[in-house]
Amino acid sequence: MEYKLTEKEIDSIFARYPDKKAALLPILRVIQTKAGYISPEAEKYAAELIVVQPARVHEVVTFYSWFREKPEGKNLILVCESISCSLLGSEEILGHLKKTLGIDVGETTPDKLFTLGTVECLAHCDASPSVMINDEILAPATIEAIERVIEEKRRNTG
Amino acid sequence: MTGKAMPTLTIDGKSISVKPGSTVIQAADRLGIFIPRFCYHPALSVVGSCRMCMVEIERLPKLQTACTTPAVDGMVVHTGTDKVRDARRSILEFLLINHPIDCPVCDKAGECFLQDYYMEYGLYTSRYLEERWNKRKVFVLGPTIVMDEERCVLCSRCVRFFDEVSGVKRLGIFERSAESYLSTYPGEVLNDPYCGNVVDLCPVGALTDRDFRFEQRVWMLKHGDAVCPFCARGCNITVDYNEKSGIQINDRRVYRFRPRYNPEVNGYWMCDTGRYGCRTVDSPERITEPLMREGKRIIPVVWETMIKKTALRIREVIDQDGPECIGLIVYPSVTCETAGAAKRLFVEHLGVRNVSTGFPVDPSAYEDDILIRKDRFPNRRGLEEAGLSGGRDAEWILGAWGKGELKLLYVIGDDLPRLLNKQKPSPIFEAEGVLILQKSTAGPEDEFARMILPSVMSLEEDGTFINFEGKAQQFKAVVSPFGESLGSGDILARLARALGLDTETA
Ligand code: SF4
Ligand code: SF4
Repeated sequence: MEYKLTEKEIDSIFARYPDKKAALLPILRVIQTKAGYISPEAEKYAAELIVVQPARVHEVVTFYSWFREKPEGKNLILVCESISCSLLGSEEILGHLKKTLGIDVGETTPDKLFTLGTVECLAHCDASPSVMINDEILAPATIEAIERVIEEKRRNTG
Repeated sequence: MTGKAMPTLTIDGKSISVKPGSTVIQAADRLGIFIPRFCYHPALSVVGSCRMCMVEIERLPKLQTACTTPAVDGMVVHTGTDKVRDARRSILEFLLINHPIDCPVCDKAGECFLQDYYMEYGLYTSRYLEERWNKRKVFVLGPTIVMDEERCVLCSRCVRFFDEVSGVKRLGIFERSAESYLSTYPGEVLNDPYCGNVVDLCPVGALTDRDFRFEQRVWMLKHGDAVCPFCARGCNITVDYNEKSGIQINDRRVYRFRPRYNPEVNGYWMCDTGRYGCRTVDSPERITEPLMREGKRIIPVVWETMIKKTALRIREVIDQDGPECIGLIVYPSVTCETAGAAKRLFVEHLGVRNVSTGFPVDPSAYEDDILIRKDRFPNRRGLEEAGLSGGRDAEWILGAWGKGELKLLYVIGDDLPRLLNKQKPSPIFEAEGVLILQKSTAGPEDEFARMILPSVMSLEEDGTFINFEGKAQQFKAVVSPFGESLGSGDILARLARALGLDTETA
């Protein structure tokens, strides 16, 4: 999977920051979007771009749930597990997702459509429970709303 | 910023003025008030991540971390209030949630911050009923270091050491929150000339030294101050040893070298070559008693005989062939005092002119701008200042020796680079004449030696080294001599007496 950035992409990202190192997150976002995951080669490539050790890039990649380290489903569903979401039912939502998708946290459906994950906080505590599907937030999330999104994704990306 | 004025603050009733920009923990350290910490280290950047150094500051509603709070004029700090002790206990409770508490089998026990703080501020009954998380227990990071992920408190001291001191990012903290763990980049082996320092830095038993691991409980060890003899930097070190280990010829055994803070020489650090040079002290290659050749065999003799015979040999050559047929090599491994004694005896009294201070520095040897010097000997400067060098080079002496022009060759000191197996062996001393070696450790040249006089290593005697910058560093004997070995100066004095000379008053 192609992960490299074009000259133009690189230049426009670097132009936004006084220090190359600050460009790490936007670079990783582009790689994640292009390739669907960030491979060890891509980590090394990003490290070379901003002139740091690959270990630095790996720290950032593994810190954020949105960055994936291996190829996964077309759609990434992240359920928030922190306190306010848990209190307001995220565990039920997660349980329901596991059942309907037939997979556990960290797994991908056999048709490669969905990957299920959990996160600490999606910054929507005021509208708990919150779920993130690709780059959209569903908050407050209900089982019905999630069902609708899953159906729609099945139709559009299947 | 309070301009140029020195802010004065009060900590636990004691007041102190500090440099502008200082932090509360720095001020407390200067006052000798210890504030517990994990992540803070005076030689590393401040991250304020462990939250252990919380203190109460008057007029501030919440506790503050002493490592990140700038000292401000008029500030009143309390480090031992109930509120502070309570906060420390809570931090410990969090840190210990998934900690394995395997102190009985942990190398760090006895010098572990977590253990010490728990005894001081913890002592609670665990409220944690859930199952503990398990992580990797014996994970080999590299040739010298083993990692126990369960014990790690994620203070990032080790990470910052490589980032900031040794200069290459070799470690990282990966994943997030309770899943975080410390490691090298996946697949990379931890290799760095300064690795050992992270074991000292690690406040808990997460990083342990494969050389020291399971060798001793630290409370069995005694400590002595010494100077590292393995390069021209002369790092200040602490020698950890046990006087009654129950093994080795004379029962005492040296287990570990650690750096000792000296801002003018080595800061807080030392290199791995010096650190693991520790193994040379009680090495099975050490010479335990005086040895003399009889035909093909080399046999032990008592010191009295050794000195008498050695003196006799020297006298013979002087009388029959003259002092120009004697060669002297003094390695820069010896102290200034030994160099002085050698000069008085051989040069001033016996008139020996063919004197050399060993081989020149290997230009291809490793060196960096942190600590390590190309010159793997501790006292080249000292020998120069003792007036021993400037005579012959060792190649010339060995040439003359090989051709039989020298009838007697006396060699004082150890070829340290060879002892450490870092460099090729010195040219072999094969020839017809009388080869006398005064040194601590066996080597390939022994097979040509007529006499071997066992001398101590630098941590077994008092002395002075002068480092490459000209800094003279005195040291005292830390441990007793190995076997029957004697101080180099002592051997030379005995020789002088046997030769009927009084070198003390030269
Ligand atoms: S291994 Fe030790 S020094 Fe490194 S982060 Fe963990 S506790 Fe800190
Ligand atoms: S830098 Fe030199 S003096 Fe310092 S520890 Fe290493 S070998 Fe010893």
